[in-house]
Amino acid sequence: MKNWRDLFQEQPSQNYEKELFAKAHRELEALSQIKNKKWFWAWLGGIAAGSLGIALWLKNPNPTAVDEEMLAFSDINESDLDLEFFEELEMFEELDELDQEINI
Amino acid sequence: MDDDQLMYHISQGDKVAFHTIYKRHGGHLLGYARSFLKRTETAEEITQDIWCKVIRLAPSYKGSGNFVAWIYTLTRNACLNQLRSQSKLQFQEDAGAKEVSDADTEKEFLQKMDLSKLKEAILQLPDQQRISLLLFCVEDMSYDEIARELDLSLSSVKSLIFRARQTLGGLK
Repeated sequence: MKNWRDLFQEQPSQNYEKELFAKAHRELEALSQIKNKKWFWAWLGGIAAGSLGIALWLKNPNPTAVDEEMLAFSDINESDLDLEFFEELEMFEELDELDQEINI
Repeated sequence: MDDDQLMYHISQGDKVAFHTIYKRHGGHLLGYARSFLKRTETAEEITQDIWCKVIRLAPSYKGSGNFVAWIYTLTRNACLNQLRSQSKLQFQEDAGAKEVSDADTEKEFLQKMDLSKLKEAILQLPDQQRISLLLFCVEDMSYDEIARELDLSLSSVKSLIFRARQTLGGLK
């Protein structure tokens, strides 16, 4: 069985390979730089996240207290929001009434 | 290490992996491009670009286990584009397409030919016949696939390969 790919095989010249490797090495170095940059940003991101964690821990070493405070805070906000919602609703109803009076 | 593993290492910027994969396929690819274009300088330029493209595409290369088919497709497309851009290749329907035989008969015939004379004889064939024959033999494409690739009718492709085989038949 003939191997057609082998039939057309050629021995590349030294000049050709020299040029090719110069081009290829530039491309490979560009790839390495991209890879190194990715590692650098991952490392920097890790340091930043770690620092933030330490800072938060130093500020409040007992996370449970923070949770309770946050829950209490969110409760107050929720009721405030509800009140605001009803106040706004009333205001719109009044405006509707005014509109109707104007139309009459 | 297989080609897919080497491609992974190339995607990491590994020069040794590139040299290994190049040594494995570089001569085949250059010869294939030259048989398409018939000009060594153009074939060298094109294959150098293809190798650079292989490196650039390495990070997104999906290891399908068929690196050879992939790289031959890149080469074929680059060579056809080169020929088309120079308007050297204009495929025309073969109106006189009558005498044709099936793919198996053609392949059987070509297998029996004298290897030493075959390569040079193929390079002497007209562009349309040579390229159809290369796709048929080297890339193992079917008549249908060749017709789609070259935007020709099926009968024209059959006829081109038949004519190429007739010309090569004189070598016996």
